[in-house]
Amino acid sequence: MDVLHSLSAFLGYLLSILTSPSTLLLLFGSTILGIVFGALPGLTATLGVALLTTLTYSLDTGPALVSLLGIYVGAVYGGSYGSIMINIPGTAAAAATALDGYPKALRGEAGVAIGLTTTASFLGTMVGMFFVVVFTPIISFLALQFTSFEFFLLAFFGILISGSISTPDLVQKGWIAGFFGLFLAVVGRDPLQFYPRFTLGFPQLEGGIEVVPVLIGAFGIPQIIQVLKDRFVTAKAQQVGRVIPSWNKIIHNIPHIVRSALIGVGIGAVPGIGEDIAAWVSYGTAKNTSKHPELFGTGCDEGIIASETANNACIGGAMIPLLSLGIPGSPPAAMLLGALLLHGIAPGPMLHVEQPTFVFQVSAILLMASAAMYISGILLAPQVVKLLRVPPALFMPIVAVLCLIGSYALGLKIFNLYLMVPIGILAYYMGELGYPIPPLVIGVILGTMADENLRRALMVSQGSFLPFVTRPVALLLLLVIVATIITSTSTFKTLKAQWQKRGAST
Amino acid sequence: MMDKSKLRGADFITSLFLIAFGVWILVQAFQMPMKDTYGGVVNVWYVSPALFPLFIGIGIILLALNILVHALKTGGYQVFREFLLTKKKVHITEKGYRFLAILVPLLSLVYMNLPRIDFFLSILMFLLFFIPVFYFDDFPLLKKLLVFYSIEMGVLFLLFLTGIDRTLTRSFRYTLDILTLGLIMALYLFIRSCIGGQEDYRRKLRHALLISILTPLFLVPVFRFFLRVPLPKEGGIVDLLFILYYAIR
Repeated sequence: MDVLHSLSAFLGYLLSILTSPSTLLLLFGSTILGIVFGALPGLTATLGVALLTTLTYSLDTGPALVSLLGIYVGAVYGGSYGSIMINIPGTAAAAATALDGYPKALRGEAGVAIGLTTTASFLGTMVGMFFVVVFTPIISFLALQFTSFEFFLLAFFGILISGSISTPDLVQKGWIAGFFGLFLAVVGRDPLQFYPRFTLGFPQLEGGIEVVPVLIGAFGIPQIIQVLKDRFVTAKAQQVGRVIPSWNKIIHNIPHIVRSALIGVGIGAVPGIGEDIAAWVSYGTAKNTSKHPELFGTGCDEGIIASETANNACIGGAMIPLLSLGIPGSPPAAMLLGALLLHGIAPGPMLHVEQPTFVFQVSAILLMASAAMYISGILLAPQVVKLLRVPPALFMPIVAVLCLIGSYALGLKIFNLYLMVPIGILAYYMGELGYPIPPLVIGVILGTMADENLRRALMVSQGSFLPFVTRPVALLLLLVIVATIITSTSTFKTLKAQWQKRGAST
Repeated sequence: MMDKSKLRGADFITSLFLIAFGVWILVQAFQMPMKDTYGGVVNVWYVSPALFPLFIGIGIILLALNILVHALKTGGYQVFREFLLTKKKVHITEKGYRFLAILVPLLSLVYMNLPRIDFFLSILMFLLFFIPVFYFDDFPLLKKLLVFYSIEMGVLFLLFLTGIDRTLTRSFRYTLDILTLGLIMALYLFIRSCIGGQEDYRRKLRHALLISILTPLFLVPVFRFFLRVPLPKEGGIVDLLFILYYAIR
């Protein structure tokens, strides 16, 4: 597909959104809903996408995608409201924003801070979208050259890297979570020989465990338990005043924006790593490279811009591996993958062959969603901020009901609920014990891909493992996997520390 | 996440559980066709359905062993031993009660009420307990409400266990709905009696009641009439909404 064709497809989708009042209504509605979801502490972008998946199930793919991406973009941005107004981040992605957003609000500049986050988030999403357009077709093209060897290694690498980065404690815990996800994925009849595996005699398990109820359970139930058990309270919100999009400050901070957006896209493209890590890394980098690092934490603009640009740019980054390889880049993208599968779209290298314009459709929606987010943010922020007064005890029970009906409605199986609740409770305990949830989810999603491709690869090679080292891409992936494992071991970390110590003393 | 001092003790015991889990996966995998014939297909080891589970089982065991060694090195066993020695009596903390106040309604809703009681009423009963119990933010009241709600769920459990519900609904289809409605009323009256004349609590209860009614009133039409999703159990109230919906249409 040449550049002109791509551009015309992109513009065509843009026009189709702009000229359809119902789609525009859906776009603005879901984006505002996303902002509300993000703003309310305890509700996350993942949960928003999860709950909307059920409601958009009966819609056509286009409108469903508009609403899902709308809520995703809105929720990642909306998290900053809580950070700025009450010093409680609406989502984990906005935690870094609180460091400078809240002090700014205390100085009576809440409107300026929200104006900055709105503009930074808008620009971040736009940069992310640009990378989706440019890199997804390239990676898809490269991935078409992959065989089962590479796909198995890619799936395994996704689980490993997600486990390594998202773990709050020992790296082994992240990997175990990933392996547990893989285990959940193999439950059911095996796809090659139809042999029932780990079904424990339950006929309902023969078809395998459905991904969406697992995702809703793993992300929704722990959130509900945590918020209600740990008595999440709302604080008195600061006065917001007029939301001012300060373009002067934005232009002055263009280098920060570019760097933060690149960090956001890069981290987003790593499987299973979400917007929160992107925001923290970007904030840390901005502070380390600043001429006035002492101003960070006192309400400085660079801090706000760094975290908010990165977390929204991460959305585009997360879409790149999702669309090109079928590997979600972040937890909300994992949920989006579940939704796409429900709509009969299988993201991966073949997507670019079967539906060559799909990437441009996603990009056009991202562009429109970021515009909707910007307009809604500037106009509605003072109203949305009022919702911060609503105590979580009022809305969390409703979220619980939505999680339940959502899990049930997708397959019309009450058994999905029977599975979702224990998985949710288990995920809660895993979180308490330092086992991260994203690798588990990535494992559930990539398990089938890893299983099928491992066996297919060995069938092709008639049981030989040699192609893993003779095929260049497979070898490269294998080396990266080995490097990831080695660099995560405590022996390596001790040696590295000793080496650094020696370097410093000499 | 748990604090680090307790975490290593927990790591010690969880790693043992994980090793056992990994072994169970391996045992199950070894029972799968490896080289023998299954369904007329002669197997070779690399197409066996056991291959990937073996990989997972071994992976979990190795990683859990790693965590076990780390826990032992960092005093995890001592922490766990101390925990066992000092824990003479089971004492439920406030957080523990709050956790129970989440689990009891959630588990009873999913495993007991949703498949058997009218969807509208199940959700109403769930929310009428779940919202006030946390919205009041009053620990003694939470304990009282939790006991009362657990008794109500116990009554329903006995009905379902003994099969009385089937006998009741055989004579009149909506008997169970009427009974549930009675339990909802009893719960509401109990909460009212507990909070007495405290205006703040009464206001909160009004909010909770309103949300408890509005939520299923919104969800039932959306899912049943617009998305055409058959609800897990459609009883008296859903039937009534059906009549209303078709009367309006």
